[in-house]
Amino acid sequence: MSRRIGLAELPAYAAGSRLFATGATESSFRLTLDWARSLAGQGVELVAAGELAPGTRCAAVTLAGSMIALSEQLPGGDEPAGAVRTLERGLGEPVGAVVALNLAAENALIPLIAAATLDVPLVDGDGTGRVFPLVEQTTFTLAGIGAAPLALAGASGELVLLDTVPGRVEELLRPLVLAVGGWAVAACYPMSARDLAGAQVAGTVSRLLEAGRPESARPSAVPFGMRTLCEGRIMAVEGSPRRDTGPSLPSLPSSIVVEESQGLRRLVRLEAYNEIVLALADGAVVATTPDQICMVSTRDGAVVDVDRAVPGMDVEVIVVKAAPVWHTERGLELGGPRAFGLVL
Amino acid sequence: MSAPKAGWEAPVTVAELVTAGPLAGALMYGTGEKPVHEVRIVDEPSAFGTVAPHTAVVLVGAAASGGWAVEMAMRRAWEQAAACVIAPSSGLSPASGAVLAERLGVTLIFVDDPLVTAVRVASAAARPEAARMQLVARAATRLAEAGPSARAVLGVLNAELQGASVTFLDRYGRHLAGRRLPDREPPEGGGGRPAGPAALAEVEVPDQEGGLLGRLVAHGSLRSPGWPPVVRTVLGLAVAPLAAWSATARLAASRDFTLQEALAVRLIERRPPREEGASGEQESAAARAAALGWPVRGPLTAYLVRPWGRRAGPEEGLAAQAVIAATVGRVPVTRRGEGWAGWSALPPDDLAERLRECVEALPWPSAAGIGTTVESLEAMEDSLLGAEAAAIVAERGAVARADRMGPAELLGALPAGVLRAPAGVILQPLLAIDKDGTLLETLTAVLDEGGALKAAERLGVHRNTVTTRLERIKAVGFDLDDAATRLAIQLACHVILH
Amino acid sequence: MILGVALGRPTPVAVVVRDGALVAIVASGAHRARAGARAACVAVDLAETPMAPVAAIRVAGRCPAVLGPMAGRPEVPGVATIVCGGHRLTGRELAPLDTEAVRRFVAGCGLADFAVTAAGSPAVPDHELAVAEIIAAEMPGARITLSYESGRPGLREREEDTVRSAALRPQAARIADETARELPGLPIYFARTAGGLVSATYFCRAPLVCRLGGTASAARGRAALSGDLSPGAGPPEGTLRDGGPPGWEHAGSGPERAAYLDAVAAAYGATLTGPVAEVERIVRARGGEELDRRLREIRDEALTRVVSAGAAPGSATVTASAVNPLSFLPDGLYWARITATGATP
Repeated sequence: MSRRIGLAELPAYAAGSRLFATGATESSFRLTLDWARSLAGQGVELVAAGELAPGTRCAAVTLAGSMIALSEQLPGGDEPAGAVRTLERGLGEPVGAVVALNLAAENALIPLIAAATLDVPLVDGDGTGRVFPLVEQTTFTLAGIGAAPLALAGASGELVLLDTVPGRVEELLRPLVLAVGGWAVAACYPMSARDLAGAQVAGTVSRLLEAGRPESARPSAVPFGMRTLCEGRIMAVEGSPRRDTGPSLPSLPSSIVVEESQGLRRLVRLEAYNEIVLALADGAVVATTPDQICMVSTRDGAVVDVDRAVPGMDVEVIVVKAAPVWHTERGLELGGPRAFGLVL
Repeated sequence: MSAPKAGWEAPVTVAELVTAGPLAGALMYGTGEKPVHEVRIVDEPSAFGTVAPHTAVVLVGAAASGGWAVEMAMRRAWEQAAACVIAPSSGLSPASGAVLAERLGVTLIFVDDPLVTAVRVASAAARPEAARMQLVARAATRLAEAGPSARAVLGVLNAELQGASVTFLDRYGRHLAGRRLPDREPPEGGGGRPAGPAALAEVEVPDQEGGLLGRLVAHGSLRSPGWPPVVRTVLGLAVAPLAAWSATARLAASRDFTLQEALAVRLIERRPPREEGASGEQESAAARAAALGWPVRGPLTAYLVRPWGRRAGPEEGLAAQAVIAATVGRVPVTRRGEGWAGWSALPPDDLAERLRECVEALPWPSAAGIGTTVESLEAMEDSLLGAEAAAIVAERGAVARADRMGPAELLGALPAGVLRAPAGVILQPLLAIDKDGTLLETLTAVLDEGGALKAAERLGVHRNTVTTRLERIKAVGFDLDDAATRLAIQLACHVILH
Repeated sequence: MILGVALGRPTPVAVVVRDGALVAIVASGAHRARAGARAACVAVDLAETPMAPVAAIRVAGRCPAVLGPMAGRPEVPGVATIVCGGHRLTGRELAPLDTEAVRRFVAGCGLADFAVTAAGSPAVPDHELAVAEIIAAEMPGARITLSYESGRPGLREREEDTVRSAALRPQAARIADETARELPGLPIYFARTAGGLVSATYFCRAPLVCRLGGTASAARGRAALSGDLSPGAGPPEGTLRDGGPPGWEHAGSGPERAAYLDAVAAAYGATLTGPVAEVERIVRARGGEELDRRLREIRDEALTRVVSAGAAPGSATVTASAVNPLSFLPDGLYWARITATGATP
């Protein structure tokens, strides 16, 4: 299989990337999309990992840091290429394909921009099948592939090459991203196409292109199933006490209380740490990470950010089942409730 | 007060803990109707597996780390049929807690310090009777402080019996004091008891003549089987002050009459008996008193002279009056309690001197008391009460002053004869092993001096001796750390030793 | 008594409103009904085509052309420049402000309406204020619109709003002047698109918030009058009973009548709200105490602004506030949005 993502496919790709994405700000997404549009003229080749020569060096590309910082301090334009080139220098060999770390909003577009500017293919897959706030919360990590060496390109032209042992990346990355302005493009998880094929959640880019078409229904974006937890109205948005987590998470915990508007009228509490990591209905656990829990506005169908949730908003709470690898013991350790300081 | 009745041992309920127990004043959501048998401190959710029914679950640490943890705890509490969930008030939203408390029927209580609370609740749950007795004791103390005032008494009842509404109705069911229950009030002039829901407890208040003065009625939710007996007991405590109030009130209401009567006595003394009641009906008592040279404007000081160690014979009044008149001067003399009372415009020091002469001059052993100085006749009753109290305290042949009365005088005035028998019962375990009386002496010294060190000084023995004796005293079951026990023992010691 | 005025027909329509009730319609010239009125609320839609040319100054780093300022593109007349400077949201200066470049641009642009947008200005507006000083010094009488006043995070969107607002300013100034001439001595308010009123002064400075004030007021007025304004209906109940000359007979028929009814609804709708001010800021605070202090400052700013927007000082209250911590940024950065409202004096 080989196809291209060009100007014609970009709208569907962009729309698909937002179906379950949280944390995106309208502004940062718009600018990333405009940026991608300006580069997508010739189109980017989309390949399955298995179609590449097995030894092809691949790298995951993602945005790191704050989207609001990105929307305020615009990119200079050469960050994606700069990050990959810096990684290449560290590896001593060229990168032959890029893959998305995750496919949520800007993070789907940045690898596309990287592929377009470097003229390399984009691999049809990603490293989470959903979104996690930490760079090391990936199926690549679960497959034993290290995130480092990792290259970082900031908006003021800074380039950083970071090499360390697994588990230390997040801790080092965070202050670096803050130091270069609050956001950066990261190129990481250097691996062969062979390793990538075994470690990724495959086919997610194609699925996203499919699901992003106007006539598609939301569930078509979901490879492993989804369900509606409840429909209701947000009653309260509260801060939660800071929890003791391993690598400190990039945001303050918060808590959203939704009152079900139909049926049992249960009280649904969504405990969030950037992403919603736990859902309780009348105090009973009904969903937890690694499955993805999100609020969708019943007014316009858009995903409601935890940051933007306000009392009175009518939302549907949906649960998207994570890739099976996340439900293994290792997967739960990395992306389950305990990774977010929740002892259930 | 009678011995604890059935029901006192019934487990305390959550609501009882919150409204009148160790959780007083805490924020409670839910009905709190479940009984509490034990307390569990839960610091992580997995601990819930072993929570027994009727447990008050106190959340700390990870189990209280945010709204989600509390909500999960409430769910688990519901599954385990726990009595209630007690959570720290910091950082939680009461709103969702309230909704969930209602939905699950699990009571949620927010407190400032869960660990301290846990200890208190545990003690109340383990000994419900003691917890309730504590409430009764507190109510008794406050009732004693309130004095003979219906308003003050009802104020105490309603403050101490939180969650209950106590009202004082006259024998026709009309409101006298306390919380009004308008919908339950019978029409004016209508007889019988108030209609409405069954009362939690009801106690009759007799008047001095043994008739019915009124009823104390408490309404409120039935929080536990142990609650109505507690309420009934506390209401019972209020009967005496209310009866005293009634007497005082009547005295006040009839002050004019009493004055006239006293005036008449004096008039009879100076006029022929046939004129009794026939003259001066319209003349104001004050004017007549003034005519007699009685002081009617302040500052005034009451006095009371009483026979010491015996009852006054009916024929002795005139003699007493004569002596009082001769020593104190032109003052009213009325029969009051065990003696004769009145008031004088003399400064207290002078009055005390004159009374001392009076006591000496009386043909039988006597003592006298002086009340506090008051500004007018309206406040005279206070002064008279003081004088009466002082007279009771006064030694034979002496004059005691209410404004100089201290603890020693009060202790000295205890009716030792009446109390000797119960004191003996209380101290029985001690007296049984106290061959030479040293233990009783030591115990008294420790309690009087407030510590072993000073007691050793007073007794002239080594401190270790006192400590050893105290160990023996404690060994026979005296818990000196308990305030109520300590007071009772100290009183008993005094009665036995003096 | 308040006057509601709808501009945009060949002749303005005015209504007299007493205690919230529409009591009279005045078709020809608002001045005929002004006796006894204590304020006038104006509903007007501002035309965005053709757009007035604007000189846009972005204070930020370099970026791909596609992300550059909108002014100067074919659909947006005017000129634009990017000068070095701006701040990060954390408060750190990205680069010193290139004051010389600002001066050069101001001298050479040939325009008097300026839109200034600096990176990070919702957190630190210093560079925008510095640019404004330079413009004022170089070109006395220039109309300067600063992006931090809207405070919305997102440089491009904020810049777009600022440019559009700057482009509307000549039009707004004209309308405000004309209205003041019609109704001399009367305090005049303009209806915002999002509900609420602003003073004429604020309208002249930031007209974008009132761009669809006429349409929005018409919707509000229609909702309040419900069935009273159907094309076939008579005048709203009570309007002919009390005060001022009735205007119903001027309504005409057909499309003209529908437009007339819209104007009546808009004029009435404008009177139904009070002054509003919104303040959006990114604040940095270490600890709850400092955050409280910063929020108090923003509340005070919102209250001050709603009073300067024409609210009676005693009536100003904060009616909405939202504070969210910003993810992936150092602790203590918050996005605060405060809305204050008041009543017309």
